[in-house]
Amino acid sequence: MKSLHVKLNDILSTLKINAHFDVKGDSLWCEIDAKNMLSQLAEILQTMNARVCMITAYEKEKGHELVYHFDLDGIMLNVKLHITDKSVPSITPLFKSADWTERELSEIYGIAILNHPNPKRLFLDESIKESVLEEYYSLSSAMSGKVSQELWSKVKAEEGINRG
Amino acid sequence: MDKTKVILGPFDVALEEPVYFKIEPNSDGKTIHSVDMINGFVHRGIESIVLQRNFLQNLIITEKVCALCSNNHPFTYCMAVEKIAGLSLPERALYLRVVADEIKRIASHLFNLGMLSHLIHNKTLMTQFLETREDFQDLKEAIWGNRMDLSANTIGGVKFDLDATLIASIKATLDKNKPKIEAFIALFETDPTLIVRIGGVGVLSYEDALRLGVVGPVARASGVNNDVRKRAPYAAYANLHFDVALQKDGDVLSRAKVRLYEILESMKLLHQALDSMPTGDVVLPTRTHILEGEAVSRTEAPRGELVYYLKTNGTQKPERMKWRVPTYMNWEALKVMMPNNNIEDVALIFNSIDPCISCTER
Repeated sequence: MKSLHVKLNDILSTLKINAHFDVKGDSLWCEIDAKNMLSQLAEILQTMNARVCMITAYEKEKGHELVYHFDLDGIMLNVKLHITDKSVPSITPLFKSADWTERELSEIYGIAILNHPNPKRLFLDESIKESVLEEYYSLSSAMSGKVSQELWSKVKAEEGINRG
Repeated sequence: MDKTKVILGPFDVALEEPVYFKIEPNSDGKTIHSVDMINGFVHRGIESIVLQRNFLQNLIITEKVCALCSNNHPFTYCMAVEKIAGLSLPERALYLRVVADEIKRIASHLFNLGMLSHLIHNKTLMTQFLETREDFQDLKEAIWGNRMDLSANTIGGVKFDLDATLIASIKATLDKNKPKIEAFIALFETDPTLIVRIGGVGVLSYEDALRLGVVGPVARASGVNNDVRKRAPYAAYANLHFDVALQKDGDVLSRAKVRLYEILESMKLLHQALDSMPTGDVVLPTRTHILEGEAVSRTEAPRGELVYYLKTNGTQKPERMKWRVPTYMNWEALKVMMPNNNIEDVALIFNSIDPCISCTER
């Protein structure tokens, strides 16, 4: 475990990335500001048998903050990347484990994942527009109160027919 | 022969949860050439809902993500909140968290094995598995007042305590059922009919398991050890001894065996936790204000690694909360496991990853 700490520190300082461990010492946090840095770092991590656990996105300062959570032998490396143009290179060609989480990013936040090998929708139907999480829907419209209204009139109409 | 596509679903594939399989058969019409899955039928947007609730309300919401891993969701969520708030929990609470989690794991594994027996039409075996599980369900009811959602965890500790009577009843249940689990293991290790039926079905190699980043018993059945309890110990796991159950064949049989051996390990953990549990408080006395910050936490749910990310901004509600459930990682592996197997084994292979649609479509 300790040698991994040293190795990670080496890599991050070579790439001139500042990093710090959190209080429990089991996760390492760092921020990068260039997308090519992400690809560079991903290539190195891939040779270290890292695994992509998750990628989180959220809105921040008129852009998006992405957090890539890599597992390295029990240590979680969290890499933050700030983007303003809603696009990011895919790391799925390097990490198959990033496949789903990248596709989900694009369907929920509308972030374009460049060069993703399988850029299909994951959960949402193609007819639903992208970046739905950024909008608020009331429950009645999400569950479509209109539909039950229509259904009810249909039932009433059919009852009318049956009763002749 | 025309190219017939086999469509299974959206309902009643293995667990009566909705998922849609598009299967393209080989030219023999009996085996699978390729498989595609369509999901999203029950997506509930819970990651968005939690942003509109405060930290305590979210305990209930996370518990509702899924019934079988319902203990691990609030557990992992609490760990993230506690990290941000810088809380150190009473020792006893850490042990009680382990107790809740391991009892849940045993019941969860037994349920999956019961489903496996159902899918190979072995009704007797299914009954035996579910009857064994029933003892643990009763135990949950006795301790937490509920058979599925335990509501065991809270920020800063747990909401229950164990007295001598309850500890004795847990031990009695373990002692009563250990020989049964050993008999199941003997059956899965030696019974020729069973081994022929599920051995070599739905194989996932060690390399593929690593490449796809699968977790939990699916990973361990292919020889990949990423048990969070060992790799990044949390709660009281660092103080307890247990072995990680590993198999190397990566088939349905191996995944079943991993779960069976894990039940024995859980029993070992429970005995140790109950015997070495310190006395004292089970929860911190004051409610803490959650400051601005962010944290990642993870636990080993019955199905595998569960990860939570939490970002707070000093208000009573999270700014962003994201989690990734075990099935999310294992699902894509079905595309490797299924080709060249019999079409009739789709449900069996699907069940062997212990799928949780409810978790995945959170």
